[in-house]
Amino acid sequence: MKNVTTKICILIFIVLLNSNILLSNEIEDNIIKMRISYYENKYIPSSDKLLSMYENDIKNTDDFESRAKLTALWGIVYTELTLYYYTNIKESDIETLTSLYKKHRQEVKRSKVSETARLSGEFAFLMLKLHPSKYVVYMQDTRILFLKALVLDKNNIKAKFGIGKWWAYVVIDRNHREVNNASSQVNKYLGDAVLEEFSGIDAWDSVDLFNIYYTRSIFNMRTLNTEVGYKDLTKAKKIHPNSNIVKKLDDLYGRNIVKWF
Amino acid sequence: MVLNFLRFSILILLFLAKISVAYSQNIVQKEWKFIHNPPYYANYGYLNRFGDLEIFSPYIGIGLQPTQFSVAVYAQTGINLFYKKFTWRLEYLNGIIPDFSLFDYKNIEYFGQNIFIYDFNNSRISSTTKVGNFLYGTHVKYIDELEANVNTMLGIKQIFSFDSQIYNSEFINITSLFNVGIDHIVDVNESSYYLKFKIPLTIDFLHSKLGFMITGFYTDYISKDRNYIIGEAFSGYDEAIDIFIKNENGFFNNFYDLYGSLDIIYRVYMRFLPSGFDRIYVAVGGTTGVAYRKENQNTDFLYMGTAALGYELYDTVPFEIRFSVDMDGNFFFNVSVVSPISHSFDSNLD
Repeated sequence: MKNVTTKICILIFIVLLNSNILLSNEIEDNIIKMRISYYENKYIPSSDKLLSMYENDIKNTDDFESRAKLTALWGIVYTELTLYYYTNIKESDIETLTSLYKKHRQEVKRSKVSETARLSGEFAFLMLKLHPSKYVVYMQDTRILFLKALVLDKNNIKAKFGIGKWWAYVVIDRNHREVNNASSQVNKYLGDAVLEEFSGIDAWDSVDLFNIYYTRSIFNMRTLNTEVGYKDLTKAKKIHPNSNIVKKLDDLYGRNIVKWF
Repeated sequence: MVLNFLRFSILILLFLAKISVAYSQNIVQKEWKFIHNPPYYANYGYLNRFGDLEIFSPYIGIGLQPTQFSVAVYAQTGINLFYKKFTWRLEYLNGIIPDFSLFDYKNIEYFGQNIFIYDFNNSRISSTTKVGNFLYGTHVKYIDELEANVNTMLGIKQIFSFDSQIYNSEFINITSLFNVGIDHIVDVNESSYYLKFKIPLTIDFLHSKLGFMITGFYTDYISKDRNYIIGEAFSGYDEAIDIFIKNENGFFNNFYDLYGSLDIIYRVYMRFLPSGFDRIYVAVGGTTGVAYRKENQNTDFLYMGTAALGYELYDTVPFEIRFSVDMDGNFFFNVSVVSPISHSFDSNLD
């Protein structure tokens, strides 16, 4: 169990750095289906259950490369479910992720891992940092991590989304008039042109698209561009009509409140 | 010493206030601004939102605003209206603590200000009108002499600004900030105008940051009477809040009518430290340029080298301890909370 969790930390989010390479086997398909079904059916397994499911899957995978990708996929599933699906994140989930991250750091100190592996671990923690209640403290370093990933790979679409989301977060949380040209930066990284490029990468993109649409929706509502905000929400609704996030946003917009939840 | 400690405590308190004020967009709203250059403020009031229209009023707040000489602490109240890309701010500001460089309670400023802003995608136009009692000083050379020659008078200030983001890939950022202003002292019927542009350029290497800024400034009297000081301190240091020791012979204590300057700063961040501490940095920098004063028809070639230790709070707000040596060998030590090189459009409102 200890080994598995350590591995999760080291290898988590390697896919984020090489996002177009995916596992081409049944396990991957199952994960994708499960990930989407969580959004649609609101079925949220406990973190212990997720980890045990992961252990079962990894037993059936032999080579190191596949295991790495699998771990990264599971990392995404885990962080997304805990951080983005819940309307209120559980403190225990933050603790689990933090302990995973700490183990990862220790592992990195002991062994000389590559820059990519180190960054992928940082990415895992990044998702935790981006949670509204936590991110303020880490604001600047999250952006730097995304930029580092961009330096390694110019076409890293996940890193681009990260930067786009960072700009959106900045505007939504701070006074929206203070941040210069944030809307052009958000358009640059989360705009329709980028999404078209992204739609070429199939498989598990529907959830990512969903995330981007609702982020853009909140951003546009915050910058008093209500019409576009509602349009983006409708697009998000089309992808996952039963999602908690969409329902919550519908409710908040109806009461003229715009914020992260 | 006591006063210095008081000034320092106020700044620390403002830092803490900034950190502790959480943002929430319910009916009761806390609004704060503590990024980039002054003005800094924390406001508390009611926010109403009707579709694309947002009204933040009534509110009360406290903040730092620049004066002609340094910075002062104000209490403020007013109305903020946002509609799509248009912003209207109508505010009344009353000084609580006077100008930091003078620290004389007889010289407390109070004024009303009206600001219109329109944001385009990459640029902004704005108009600021201020009416009220402002600090004005008669011609003298240094800050210590200013104390005897400064008083508050009824004045009107009008500033137009045009700011634009020229280029921004996350690594290289170039901005142009331009403003033109007119200042009229009603009590003595004396008026002046000024033109100013700033072009900051920063290159982000992630572990370090290199910044350049070109500044140009020109001011002149419109009226025949020319008794009160116009002009501003050389380079970006006019906006720095210096709260400890000031060397009174320093060139940024003089006011120039015309100058062109180049600032360079190179910061190296301690990225190997744990999260939160990795924003500590060491910096080296310099300022150079040519400045002209009509009063004594004097052209000065000015330069200064700087070494600093700081902490970056948000994007461009360093809390910085700075050591500098100028061309005459004068040594300076001061604490600053402002980066002279800033891309913020808001810094151009005043």
